[in-house]
Amino acid sequence: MTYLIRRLAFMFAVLVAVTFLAFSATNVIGDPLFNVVGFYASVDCDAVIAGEIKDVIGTVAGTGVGECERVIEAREKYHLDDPLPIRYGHWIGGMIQGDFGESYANQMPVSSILAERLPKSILLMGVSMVVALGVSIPWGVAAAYRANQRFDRASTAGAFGLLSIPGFALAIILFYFFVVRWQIFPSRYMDDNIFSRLHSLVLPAASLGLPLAVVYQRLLRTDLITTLQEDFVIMAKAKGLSDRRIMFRHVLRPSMFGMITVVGLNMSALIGGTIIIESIFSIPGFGRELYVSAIRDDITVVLAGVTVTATAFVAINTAVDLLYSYLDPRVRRAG
Amino acid sequence: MAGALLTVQDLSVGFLTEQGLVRAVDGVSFDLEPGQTLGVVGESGSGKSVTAKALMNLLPSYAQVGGTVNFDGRDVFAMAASREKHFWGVEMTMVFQDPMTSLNPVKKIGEQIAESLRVHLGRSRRDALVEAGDLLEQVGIPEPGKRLNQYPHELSGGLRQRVVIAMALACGPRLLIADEPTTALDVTVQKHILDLLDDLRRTRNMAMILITHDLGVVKGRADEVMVMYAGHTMEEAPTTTLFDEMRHPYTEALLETIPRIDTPSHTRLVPIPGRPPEVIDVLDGCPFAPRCRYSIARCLTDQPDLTSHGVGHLCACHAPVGTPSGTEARAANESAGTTAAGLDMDQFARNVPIADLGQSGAEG
Repeated sequence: MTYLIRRLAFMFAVLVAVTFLAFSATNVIGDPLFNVVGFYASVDCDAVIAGEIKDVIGTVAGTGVGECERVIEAREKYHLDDPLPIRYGHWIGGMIQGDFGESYANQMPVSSILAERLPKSILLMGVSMVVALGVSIPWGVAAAYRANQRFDRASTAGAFGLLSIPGFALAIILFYFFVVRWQIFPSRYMDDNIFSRLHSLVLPAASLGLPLAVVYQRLLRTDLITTLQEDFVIMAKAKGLSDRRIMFRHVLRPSMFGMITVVGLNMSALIGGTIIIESIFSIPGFGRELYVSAIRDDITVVLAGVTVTATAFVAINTAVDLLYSYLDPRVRRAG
Repeated sequence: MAGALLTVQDLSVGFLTEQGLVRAVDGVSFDLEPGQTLGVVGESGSGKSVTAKALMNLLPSYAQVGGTVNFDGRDVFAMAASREKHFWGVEMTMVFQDPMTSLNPVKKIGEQIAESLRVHLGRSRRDALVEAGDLLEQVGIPEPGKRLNQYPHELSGGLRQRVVIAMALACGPRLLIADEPTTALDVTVQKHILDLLDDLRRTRNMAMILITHDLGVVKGRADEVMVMYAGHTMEEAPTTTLFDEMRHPYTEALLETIPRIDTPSHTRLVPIPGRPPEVIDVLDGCPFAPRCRYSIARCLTDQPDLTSHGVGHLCACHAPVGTPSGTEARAANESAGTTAAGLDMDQFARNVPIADLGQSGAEG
């Protein structure tokens, strides 16, 4: 129990650090005000309103007052006159209440952008994960069962072949054959019902999941081969259990640690992968939105993306740590 | 033999390595009556564990196995070939050396014992767990109900070995093979485990093969003892006969390595110089000849056959201990200072400092 509390406290600290760094970086590099009011960010608006100087653009005193009033308004609205930690406090306070701010680009609340975009990306990542695990576990077991024999050697060669193709290249190859030539899958994301969604996600999920499956398969295979040398496996054979039962009931579970650790760490690869894959397969998901927002300096959206990503990453890795204690009772006592 | 439960005839096990064929077991034969205990004694590498694994069908597929093994009229190797499902783990079971590693660390003890009952006897989960609790009680584990839900790491070595024994006994085997069952345990626990095995064997009328490197372990527990060296049977006899009238120099040497309470204090233990040979290819002479105090010229060229030295007493030696030829051979070697195989007889003198013994052992 104390272990759980410690883990959660640690998770909280990591999130505060990550969001603060992200917030500071996006606010220090470039002027946030510029993203809202453009050129007027660099005009001395207090002097313009007071009539002391002319608007830099206009020639008549008093022009540009309207624009300058918008600047003052924006400063107050986004707390831009406050020091950085206080602005961070405002931002994170709003975030906790579900207010992610609004997009500088189109004044839409970020929370509604998230609500629309995020589910598609989560579905994509989920299906990719299913592909990665669904392929790697049977593959790893089959390779380890007869290690260094024909199937294992062929699968090793195939694995290195797949590993050497980057995910985006695989995506383009798959897209060319399955969409352009054979037209088995749609070229854009079909959002009609769950079947059409899954149908349009087959290729993107394969592009994301297969390269990961290869890595997981290699890890699982090695750990399985190690576990198969253990005395308790000989004991299980001496009990007269079948090879299949020994593999799935005795060997698989204690061999999953390496793989599960990397599954957790690979969440960032998966999230990063959605940015590219969503662009290639025209999926209006959050990855693509993040990419577009980053290009047009839409800081609130980018920050929301960083926060969501970091939270998911830390939460999943905490879950992985907790999963260890399910997989191996010896960890429970240590905690 | 008509009444035998297990008949092993001319068992041989070879492993093809890059250096050649390693003959881990070479022409071993023995019988075991129901309810009897056979002690198999030898150093590491003598082939005793490989023999056990051959009987249990645990050898890797590349092992070359020869000979016949008959269990109550059933051909064991034929059952292995046809992947018989309910023989090993039911009729014939095995207990291993290291209880710290022979239990699955991620499964509860109850589950691990119940598994055999469910797979082989088709018990329901609940019934199997109840039976597992009974088995834990039979092997002398306190609070069996609580132990069922514990994991192996929560138990001591001695308790774990009792759990392993309970697992082996689950389906009521007629033959239990115990491969060095106490070697990995604390000395204080060893006797308890051996006594437990002996009690269980008696109450269940189960035959047992007790494998050990320690002649002291089989004394008083085994009905018969077979001494193995380099894959060969060196001597086989009823236990009392073996201790009273041992014929093989290797048996004698093994016995001298055991500390005894009835010898005067400060008597040195006599290690056997050298180490067992790498059993590659066929040896011309006796495999023990290079380390033997009794070796004569014939031992180097002519491998001795097992010959009878009394009722049920077999020994493979050209110059057996306690016979005129043996006594003569040893006296001749002592006066020459070296054996026919070139072994320095001074090593056996009682006044050699231990440091020197260690050195000569390392060189051998």
